Amino acid sequence: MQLPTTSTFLPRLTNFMSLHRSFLFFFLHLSVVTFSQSGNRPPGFITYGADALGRKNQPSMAVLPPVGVESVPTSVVQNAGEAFHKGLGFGTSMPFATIKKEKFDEVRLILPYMEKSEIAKSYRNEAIPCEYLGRLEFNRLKTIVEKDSIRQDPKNPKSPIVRVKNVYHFFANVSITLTEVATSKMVINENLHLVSNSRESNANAPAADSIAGLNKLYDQIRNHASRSYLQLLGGVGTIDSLVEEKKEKAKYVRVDLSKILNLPSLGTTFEVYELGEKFTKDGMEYQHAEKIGSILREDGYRYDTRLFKVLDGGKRIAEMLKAGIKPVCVMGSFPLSAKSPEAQALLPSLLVDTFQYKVKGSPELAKMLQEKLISSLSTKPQMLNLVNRKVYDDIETERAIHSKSKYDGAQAGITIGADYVLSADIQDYSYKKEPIKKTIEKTVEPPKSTTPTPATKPAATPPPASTDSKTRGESAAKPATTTPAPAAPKPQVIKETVITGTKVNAGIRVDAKLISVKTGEIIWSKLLEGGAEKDFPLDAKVSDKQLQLEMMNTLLATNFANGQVFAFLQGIARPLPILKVVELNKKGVDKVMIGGGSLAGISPFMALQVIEETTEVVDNQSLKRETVVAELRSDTIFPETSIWNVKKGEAELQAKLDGNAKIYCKIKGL
Amino acid sequence: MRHTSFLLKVSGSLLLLLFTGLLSAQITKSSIWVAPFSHDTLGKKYDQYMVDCRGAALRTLLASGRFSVVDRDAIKELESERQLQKSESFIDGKVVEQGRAVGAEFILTGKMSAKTGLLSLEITSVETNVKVEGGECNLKEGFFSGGVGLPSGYTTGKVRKSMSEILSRWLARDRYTIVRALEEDEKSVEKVLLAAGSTRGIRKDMVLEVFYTSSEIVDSLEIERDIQVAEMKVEKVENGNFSVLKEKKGKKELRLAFDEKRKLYARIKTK
Repeated sequence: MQLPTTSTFLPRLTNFMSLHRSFLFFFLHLSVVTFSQSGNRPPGFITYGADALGRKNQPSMAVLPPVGVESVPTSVVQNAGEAFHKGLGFGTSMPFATIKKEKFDEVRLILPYMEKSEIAKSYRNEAIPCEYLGRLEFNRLKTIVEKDSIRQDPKNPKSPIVRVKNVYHFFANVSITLTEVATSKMVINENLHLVSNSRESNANAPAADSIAGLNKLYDQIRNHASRSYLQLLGGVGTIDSLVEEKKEKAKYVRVDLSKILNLPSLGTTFEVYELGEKFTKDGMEYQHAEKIGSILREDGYRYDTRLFKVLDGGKRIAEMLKAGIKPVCVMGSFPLSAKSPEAQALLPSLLVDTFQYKVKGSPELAKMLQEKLISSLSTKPQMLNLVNRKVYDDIETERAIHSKSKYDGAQAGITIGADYVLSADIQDYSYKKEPIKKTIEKTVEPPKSTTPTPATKPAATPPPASTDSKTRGESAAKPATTTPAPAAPKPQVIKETVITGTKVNAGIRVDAKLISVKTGEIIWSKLLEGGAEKDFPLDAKVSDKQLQLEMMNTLLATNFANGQVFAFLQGIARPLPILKVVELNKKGVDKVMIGGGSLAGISPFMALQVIEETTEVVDNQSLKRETVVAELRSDTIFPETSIWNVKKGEAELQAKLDGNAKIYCKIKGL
Repeated sequence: MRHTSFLLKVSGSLLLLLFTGLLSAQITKSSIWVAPFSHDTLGKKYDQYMVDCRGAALRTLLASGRFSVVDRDAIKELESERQLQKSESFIDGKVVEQGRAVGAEFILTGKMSAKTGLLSLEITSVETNVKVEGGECNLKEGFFSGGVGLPSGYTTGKVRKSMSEILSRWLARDRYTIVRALEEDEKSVEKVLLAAGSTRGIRKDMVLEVFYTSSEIVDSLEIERDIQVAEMKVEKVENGNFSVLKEKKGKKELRLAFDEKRKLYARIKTK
């Protein structure tokens, strides 16, 4: 083998350096962060080993470049994307959990050149396949500027005149989406309406004011990204031990957060659950869990002590810990236990098509409504799977990396196909304003005069011109009269109608269709409606028309999305199994536990019917027959299960359960 | 002239028989596509109006349960999703069955004349290209009484009413099998099980006439004759396949028909 000489080696090295500088930068970065993290690590943190790189304990994620609608400046989208990335953990305590997508692209470009290199081989094996893809979408940004003004306390004419500088109000709508690479399922979708302003900014230049307001927006995005990451981790934290108690109630507890390395900077509340039985029925998995309280990560939280303040449920938490049972801490609406891919695939899956606005509305409003609806549906992970096709190319790219990596965690080919497509068109949008009027009574002293003049009494003082008032009262609007002698002046009571604010109504009507991918049939078609009403007082700092419009649209989108869960269950709701009998009475079954809770879209207002399924042969054809056995009313709803009171058919239900009849529950009215 | 009129009558009857036979033989819902409604004006505001009317007609068809309404607006999206599910990434995942798309047997069209205010609704068979059902509704009154804008709530109400009339005529052509008696004694039959439910357009409180068929020989031709036995009311719709009927008139005749082991049918009674 001929060794390279100095004259040939140096140019080749320079050439190599110039070609692969991105890779070298990344490699150096990798080394530096690994090294720096291996020093004084607080207890409870995972170990960044050469093999694990944290992947065994925390999900890995690639952050895709942010996207925004045309009206949002690119720089804002980019900065928001950076904040999103930071919020997911990059550059803080878990550098490998999130890897910038751009870096992967660079690495992929380099790899072919490094085919024979040992470094490349080892690097390729070490490349972390991402289990999730994170993306930030900037759907709307509205900037409203309160102009420079001079203000003075109206009640005190001697008060100093203050110059109020421009205040920038920012209204943003962003979506945070975390998609599972293996299944293409949208596991978290948060649609956020963010509001910030530059009111507290001390900067003198308008540009600096604007930046200060935007920075507040970015901070909010970062915190929400962190929350999303914690939601993804789900109920992984457990309360380890009781640190302080008062009157047999837990006051401070220590939490094992071995998987949660990066908590949002703001106070974080976790719900505390006591886990119960696990059930598997017809392939579906259910984890019964009862909420027993909540704990708060206070400001000044220390990683070494991991102390959380108990907000409520202290008694039960203390009892459990003393009995050696560890309660689970949960954030958000994630399932309490991991579900198998087979169980996940049993749920109906939905692809939400882009909302149209052929006649009414605007692209931004359509986008806002769509994102809000997706966000609302994503909080019901046991109702349906939301599939994401917007990032499908990126998913495929990640899978290619998975197949080459030694950490191949994703199971190939388990992508969830959509059963249904939701198609929607904004049909109507209305926005109406009307003044809020109030009638007030005013006592007006008559004008004092020193000389007794017989006088011609003037007509009552008209109300101020600024109010659209009509004046009534004894003396109001009376023509001038002549009095024989000056009587003692009496105070006059004037009724005045004044405008105290604005009442704003906004309404939306969306023609939505749920279509079966298999057959192309329309499952349901509905006019989904949403409305919002809000009073804006005159004295509040929301008199600006644009500000009101923004606030109303935000409220409208939220109301619209929250009201539609029941509509979605029609035609796609899964039968709910009876998991067990909870209580018996003299007649028969009194209470039952059902598989399906708040995460499956079950609400306390619903009524259930217990159905028995039999078969009838009619004209040589076997037809399914369903007869109602009993009716149920809700008692308590848990995340994955619920308890129901039997209102009708206690004995019949008992008989069917004893006879092992094929029975299940369905929501009445669907 | 007489000859032409006779031919028209015969061909009309044949078509009706063919259509009735087609429906009676069906077990599943009839599939229909609601085509975009059109108008004969250049006014853009009428576009939205037609979208509203089309939506109302579509929802009436869906609500009846008798029709399977197919979508063609999102066909590209559906096709792209089906194609995607054929790829390797879905091998062990969840996929929909391919090649099961439902073709429309009928097409509903709507056309409005701005001059007369009449919306003409037509259901045409895709197979034969023959108009099988139709109706008209006058939208003009609601159209102009509202003044500014389009009184969509009022006018789509008219479309719904017109569609309901078309539907009731359609449903009256179907006949369903009576499975067995559910509540009976020696003298009468109170309740029966009907092999038709929500997917056949059966709704609670509908009135049905129960009958059996016999044959009569007329001029060497065997013609089917319906013998009415009783009138019954839908007490409960169990699911897509079955309903419970309660006797309204003729419980003794019903008892007799069951005793004679007649094959009983029911059809929706029209006003």
